[in-house]
Amino acid sequence: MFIKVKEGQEAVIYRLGRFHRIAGPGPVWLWPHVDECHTILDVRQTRLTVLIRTFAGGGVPVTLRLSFHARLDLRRAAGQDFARLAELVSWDELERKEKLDDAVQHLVIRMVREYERRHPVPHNADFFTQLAHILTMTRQNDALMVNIRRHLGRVIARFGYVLSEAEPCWMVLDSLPPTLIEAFDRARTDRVHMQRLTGKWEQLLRLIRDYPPHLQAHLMAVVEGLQPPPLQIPGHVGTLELNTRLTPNGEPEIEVGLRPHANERPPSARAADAQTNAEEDPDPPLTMEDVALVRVVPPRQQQAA
Amino acid sequence: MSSVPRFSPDYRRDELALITDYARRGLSCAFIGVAGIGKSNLLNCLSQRYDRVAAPDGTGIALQTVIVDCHDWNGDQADFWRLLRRETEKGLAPTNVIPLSSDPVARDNLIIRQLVNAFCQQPHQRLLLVFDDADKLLRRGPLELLEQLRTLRDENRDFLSFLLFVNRLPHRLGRAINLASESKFYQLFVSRIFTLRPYNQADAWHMLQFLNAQATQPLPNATLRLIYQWAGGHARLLKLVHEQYLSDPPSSRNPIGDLLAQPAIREDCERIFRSLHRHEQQVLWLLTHAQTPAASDTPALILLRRRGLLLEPDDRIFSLLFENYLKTINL
Repeated sequence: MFIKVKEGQEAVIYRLGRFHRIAGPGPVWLWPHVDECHTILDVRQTRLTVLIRTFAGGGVPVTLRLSFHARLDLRRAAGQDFARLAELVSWDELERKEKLDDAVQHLVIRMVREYERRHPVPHNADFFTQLAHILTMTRQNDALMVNIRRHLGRVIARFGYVLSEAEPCWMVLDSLPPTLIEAFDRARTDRVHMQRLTGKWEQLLRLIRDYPPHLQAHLMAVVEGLQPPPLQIPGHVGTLELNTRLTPNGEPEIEVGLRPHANERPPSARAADAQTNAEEDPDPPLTMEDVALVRVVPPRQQQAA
Repeated sequence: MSSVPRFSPDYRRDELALITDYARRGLSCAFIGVAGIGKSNLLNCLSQRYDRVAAPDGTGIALQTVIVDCHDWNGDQADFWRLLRRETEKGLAPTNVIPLSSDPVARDNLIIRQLVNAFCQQPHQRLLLVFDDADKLLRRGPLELLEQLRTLRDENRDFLSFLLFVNRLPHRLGRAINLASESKFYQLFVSRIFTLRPYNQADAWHMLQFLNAQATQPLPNATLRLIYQWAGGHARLLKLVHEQYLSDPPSSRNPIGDLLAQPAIREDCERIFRSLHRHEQQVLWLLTHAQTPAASDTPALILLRRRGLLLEPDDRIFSLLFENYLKTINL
């Protein structure tokens, strides 16, 4: 018997339960009781959209929307590999879209990371500069899209799609997350903070006037943002730290302090802690239920087993 | 510069293997150990060996530890988040986000979440948040603070885990806030609570060798053996007794009495004693005063054995110094 397959569609024919061929469009002959039409595929060119949630510009969470035009051509995607073709036709529409989404998301995240690695921007750069590569119509975004497009055709071919060369492929910020607005505000705050801090050298110098020269040099390096390694002070246990922060009225404050090491606290403080434990403890006696919760660390060989 | 490394290759190998294995699988756990047992040393070793850029065990998964010393916490919820934010910012890559909220807790919370989420999104790395001296955290809570930690973990399931160090059983500490029955945070590690025992002989000996290598006039091995005998494998006692031998060795007639007469050593023994549960204290006291514990004391006896404070098979106290200290006190 004949079936009619419309233009823009293709029929997946199974014979005695096994994939046999893709046919159409037009009249397609099926042997009664032997052949069956399993699925009608829509092979028209359509616009596909993939949402990508990632971090860009050093930690800003963003949702990107990548759109491109493609059509389904399973025979071209599988080439001469009949088993591959049988696998491709076995996926339903939803399954195919899910696989495609995953692969495209992975590609875009990888490309964005690669772009950020190859084109680093200073940490204190303006946020427009830091996120320029994901903002549409910027030079950086154009360069990123060239790379994405170069790999996109190969990635979607794994799922039976052929990328349309004639149609554009573009990526936009799906929505501006609140954190991004905050990020823009950070840039403004940083600028104000730095402007105000520049006038505070005298305050810092007053604080560290009695320090030895090498400590003064260390602290000034911290203020300059040079991130020197932690400084160990002879005779003291701990690391010298300098903190700057904005007070509620917007004035920067400078603090110099010695941060003790985790295991080097004054014994008196530890004793006080133990005392607190004892005073607050009207605990009933231990029971076997309590003991059952606690185990001895097993030897490493047993852990592996 | 000392020729003896701070930690031997086999330092606390079972504990480190367990912690890293769980952290790699995103599972949280807790360790209970008496004061001065070497919790901070273990953490130092962990953070030194398992750097984010290196995975020495060949699994390809790097482990980043962020250590929060809850002793620095003043008990206020805002202070906790400030503390956690400070340590997280030190350990993880900086974020460019600054929140606009005027509430400091919300601000710190957002920054921590940004840092942790960004870190956990990277492949082949895991984050281990360590709460040292977490007794106060579990005792006071409040529950909503602990649940926020649980939420943070849920947002990064399999990539973020917690490690807690406490002196006593966590559910006993958190009785006032109904930790065991109402906290989902507690459920994260309830099935993985382990005891942190004193150092084994090899670790204790290595520590003494390390301390000795730093001294201007090292002690002979025979004295080091004596020190190990007095202090057992207790890290802080080992250090204190070694220091005492360097500065003013005890008399040969009554060395233990002389050592216990030193305020620092006596205070440390007291700290060990006070960090135990009341029931455990009573059982230890009975044992050192030649009395037999009752049948109802069996749970405390078992717990003391698991903690390594009683050495099997004859239930000997792990340290001669601590045993003699117990003989001098009244309950």
